Amino acid sequence: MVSLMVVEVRLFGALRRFGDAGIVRVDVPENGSVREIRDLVKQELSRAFPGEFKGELVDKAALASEDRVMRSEEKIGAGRMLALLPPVCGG
Amino acid sequence: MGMDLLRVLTEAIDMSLVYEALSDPECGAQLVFTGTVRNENEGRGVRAVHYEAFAPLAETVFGDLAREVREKVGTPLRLVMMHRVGTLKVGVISTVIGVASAHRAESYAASRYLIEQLKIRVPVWKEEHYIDGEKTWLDGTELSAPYCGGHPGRGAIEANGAE
Repeated sequence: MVSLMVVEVRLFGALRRFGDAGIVRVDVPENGSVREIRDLVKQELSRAFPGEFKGELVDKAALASEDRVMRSEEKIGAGRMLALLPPVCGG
Repeated sequence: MGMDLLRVLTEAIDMSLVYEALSDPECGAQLVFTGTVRNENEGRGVRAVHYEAFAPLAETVFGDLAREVREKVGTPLRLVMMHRVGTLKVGVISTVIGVASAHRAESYAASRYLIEQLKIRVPVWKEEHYIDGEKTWLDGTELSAPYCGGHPGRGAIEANGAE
């Protein structure tokens, strides 16, 4: 049996309003990948906000730690705080 | 050369700190770019822009850009990169890029590189608040590894250089 870990993902920009105080929590298989976490966030927000949440917002977003954007195939350890970053437009 | 001033700020940008950070007897050129909130976008009247940032990563990317621009320009530089967050009215400064160098050419090259890279690599988002009461998060550039954090080095300069 695969054990699950809770991963907290902070949401930014147009995604933020879909979180609970800007955060969504997902149950991820231990050593789940960045790709799996993105898919689970998408599923969770689609379930919680039917008709309102658009999956492409997550498709275009990058998953990051506090010091870098992560690659899709990277594995995530337990207790990590991640951030889901939509396309950026500073300045 | 002294420490760079690389910050995401919730309070108003104090321009005296910018000029202080750029002051250096070895630098004959100080170039300061300020970005301010404009009163229209694509024909719609704008009254304010709400800025949000993922501050720890934004400041890390400022550090990456500082390393890259020094490698690109190849002469000593003093650097300032600042971005405001919060809701800013028209005319308020949202962004500052400051560069000091021995001569003007390096400052102009570095400033242009930094502002162009800031717009596509630093995790900042803006929601425009229009005069008619509506508001919209603007679309932008998708982030990708390794051009955001992770110290990309020379490859990033060649791939993303703003010449």
